[in-house]
Amino acid sequence: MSGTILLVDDSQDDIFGFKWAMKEAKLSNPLRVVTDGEIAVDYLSGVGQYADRTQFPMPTHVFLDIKMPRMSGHEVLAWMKTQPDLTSIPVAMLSGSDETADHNIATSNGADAYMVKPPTVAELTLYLQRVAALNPPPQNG
Amino acid sequence: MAALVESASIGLLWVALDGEILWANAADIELLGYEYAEYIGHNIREFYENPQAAKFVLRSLANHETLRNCEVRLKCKDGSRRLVSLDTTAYWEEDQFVHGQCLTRDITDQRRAEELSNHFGAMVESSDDAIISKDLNGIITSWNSAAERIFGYTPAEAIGKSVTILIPKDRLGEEPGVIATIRAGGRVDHYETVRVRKDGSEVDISLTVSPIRTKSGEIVGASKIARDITTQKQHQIQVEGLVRELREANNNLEAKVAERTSSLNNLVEQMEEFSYTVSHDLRAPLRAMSLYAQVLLAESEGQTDSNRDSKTYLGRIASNCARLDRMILELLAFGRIANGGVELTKVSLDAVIADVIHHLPRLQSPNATIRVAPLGSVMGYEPSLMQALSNLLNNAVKFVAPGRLPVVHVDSETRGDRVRLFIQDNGIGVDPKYQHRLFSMFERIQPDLPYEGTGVGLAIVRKAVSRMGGTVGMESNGSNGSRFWIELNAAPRDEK
Repeated sequence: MSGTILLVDDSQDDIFGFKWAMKEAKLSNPLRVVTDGEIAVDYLSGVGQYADRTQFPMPTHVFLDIKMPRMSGHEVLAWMKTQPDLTSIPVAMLSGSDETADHNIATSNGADAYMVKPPTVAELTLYLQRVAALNPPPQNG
Repeated sequence: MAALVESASIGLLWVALDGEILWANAADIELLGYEYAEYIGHNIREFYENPQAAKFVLRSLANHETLRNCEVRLKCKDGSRRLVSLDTTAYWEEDQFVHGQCLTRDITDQRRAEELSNHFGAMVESSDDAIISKDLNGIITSWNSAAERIFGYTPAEAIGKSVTILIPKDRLGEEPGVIATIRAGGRVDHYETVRVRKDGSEVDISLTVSPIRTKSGEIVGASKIARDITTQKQHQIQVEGLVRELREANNNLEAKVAERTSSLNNLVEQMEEFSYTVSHDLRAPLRAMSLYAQVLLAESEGQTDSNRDSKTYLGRIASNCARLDRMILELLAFGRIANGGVELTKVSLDAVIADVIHHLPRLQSPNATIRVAPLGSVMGYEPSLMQALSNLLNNAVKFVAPGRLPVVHVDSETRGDRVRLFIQDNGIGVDPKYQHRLFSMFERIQPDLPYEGTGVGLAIVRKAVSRMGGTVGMESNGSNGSRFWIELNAAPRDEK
């Protein structure tokens, strides 16, 4: 439960909100933030500066905003599911609204959760507990 | 002389006054097919079909009268009858009757031919088709009444003239070909062409021409049957025109349907895009405002009382953000409802009206007086009903003359299995000539009057109500207020 969280969101306000919710939920996980889908792919692939895994560790949780320029959250998730070493990382989708269509795409792409922004403290806590129970944290954390 | 009489082709018979046949020549005996002995010595009465006719002939002989062309029917040996023409003369010698002499000409075939000819003549006369005969020089030799009717010439005007009087100048070349065909024994069948009337107008005809032959087979002329096909041609042209119009209309319709479908699809796409934009982009700043207000509020927790006002204001910012977000979500939900179906449940009109009034201060004292009678329940969708009724009540108190206190009466009546809810106001009313436009999108009936509005309210009412299977309407005489109504299916009664 203490692994690195990767948040992918282009909105500074929503990044702030996420951080605040983490703080309220008293979550101390290291947080790395990237602001669009393409950068998220670079990060997860470990290319360029992201090759440095001490500074940019492989996340144990990914939170993906759906509506982003260039590459949407849906596309990032779909790509992740084609990468064998990434398929086991739990992914929660973040959306500005509870759109049925978005919800369905997220589910069929294999998302572990769908949250309407900003996630509440309770949502965040419960989610992290749920995925931790399903996926025991890596030994080397 | 005797030999001549005996061998003449005309029957000759001598008869006594009592009718006994005294003598007959071979032609006479053969005419009826009897043997000599079966005829000579017998009485003529035996051979007359009508005995009265025999009596008449004998009486006239006795009276010295001469008969000319007296037609009688005689019985043949084989039972058939022959029509003959008799000429009779009594032969006297010194006041003594010797015998009656009868010349008998068989006119059976001649009469039959005449009858046939009359019959054909009548047929030709009564025909709807012009029947014309002409000789090989193209001179008209007969002209029936249909020919007169179609071409306008009387028989007197036409007979003896060349058929070229009927042929338009640019078609004169047709005639030699027709004549050549006829001379060669051929015929022309249903040839569609144009002929010209006496008055110069043209007529569409179908022409059949066949040769007229003598008994010996010599071709001496032609009979022409001309059928007036003007009407038929016109019908054909009309039918072709209609078919063409129909095909064009069909094509237009298809194009129009395709166009409408595509514009409708565009509209739906735009609408969906709009909803998506509203729900994401419009709500994002709102979410941020709400967030920062909450953060400030949380951070001011546990601080001194001097910040009480600030806390209150921050709380109001947060709750207004939340309320605006709720409204946006409701609007979006309404948009989705309007595009899809809604599930109807039993809704209490009394509760919905009370709720609407409770949430809108301008519907409350001292801003307005709203009197509500018991209303009952309908089958509806509460958010839609809420939306419709809050719009209607808002309008009811909005469009009043300045300085006047809005007074609104809300009541309902059951109409069969429907419930109609009325909202009667004391406002400025709506001129009856504009009432049909009232429920359309962006229609503002009184744009120059100082009342706020976008012209969407009543359109939303109509849409919301029609989604619930209901109808809307209004009554106003244009001055003494308006009475709006919505009608929905009544809810089934509770079992108690």
